[in-house]
Amino acid sequence: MKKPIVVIPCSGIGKAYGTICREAVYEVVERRRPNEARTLCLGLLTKGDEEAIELLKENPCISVDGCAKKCSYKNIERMAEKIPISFTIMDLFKKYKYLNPNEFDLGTVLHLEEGGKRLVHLLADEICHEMDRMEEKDD
Amino acid sequence: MIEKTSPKRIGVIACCGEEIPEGTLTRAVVRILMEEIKPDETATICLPLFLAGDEQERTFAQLFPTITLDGCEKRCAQIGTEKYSHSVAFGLVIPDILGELHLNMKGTKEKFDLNLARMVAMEVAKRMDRLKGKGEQDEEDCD
Repeated sequence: MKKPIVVIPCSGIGKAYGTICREAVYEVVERRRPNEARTLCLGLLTKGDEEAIELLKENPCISVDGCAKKCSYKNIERMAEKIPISFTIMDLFKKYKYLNPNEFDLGTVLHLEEGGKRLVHLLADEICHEMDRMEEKDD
Repeated sequence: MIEKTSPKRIGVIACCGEEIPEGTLTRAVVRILMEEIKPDETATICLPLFLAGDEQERTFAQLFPTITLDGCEKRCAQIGTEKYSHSVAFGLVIPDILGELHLNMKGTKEKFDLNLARMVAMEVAKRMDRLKGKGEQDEEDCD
């Protein structure tokens, strides 16, 4: 059995982008790829939890960040000494130039609106495509 | 990110635990404090920023008397805050608060229960009031 890919969103609590990352990760690990992906509490890395660090050392990782501070990426990099595949919301805007965050309603941290949900699905698509690429590479 | 810096504020840091419903609840509780119950008295920071950020971000719990809110006994928010920033005034854990209030956990990782989040937020707000009262008392004692 293949090792699951650990997909970790940032814990962004200040803006809707953090919620978008979180929901995109749930979309991947709960519904689209439940047998191939799992998530992990990012706080465990901040705390320095040995079991969590060990899990990351043994499994491929993807970080999903809502801002340029890239907390998920940096916590993985620093604690597990591993470079994860990185996704950020900003990358999404760079890739899909037609997406203008000022033109649609993202919603809030507590409740995403249609614009925010659209980004959740797009981000989940990107993560799944990357997982496919990782799998092809392995085969 | 550090939000709304002012010495009159209390810091409340959620673990945001992505793996458990209680982690999602901590996040909702902090936002409800910031948006509804104590918008002028609550400051927060993304917990993982203590490791990913710089010295300025690590001063958070020195600048604000801080309460951590964890979803489980692993207490990532409390331990992470004390490791990188400063000791906390209260380290609260969701199952303990629910036990005190005789409430059962509701909601999922993806969808928190708004009523439960509001009740827990009211309870955290009481601790904030206690902390503010203590701070004001300390200031008077110094005068």
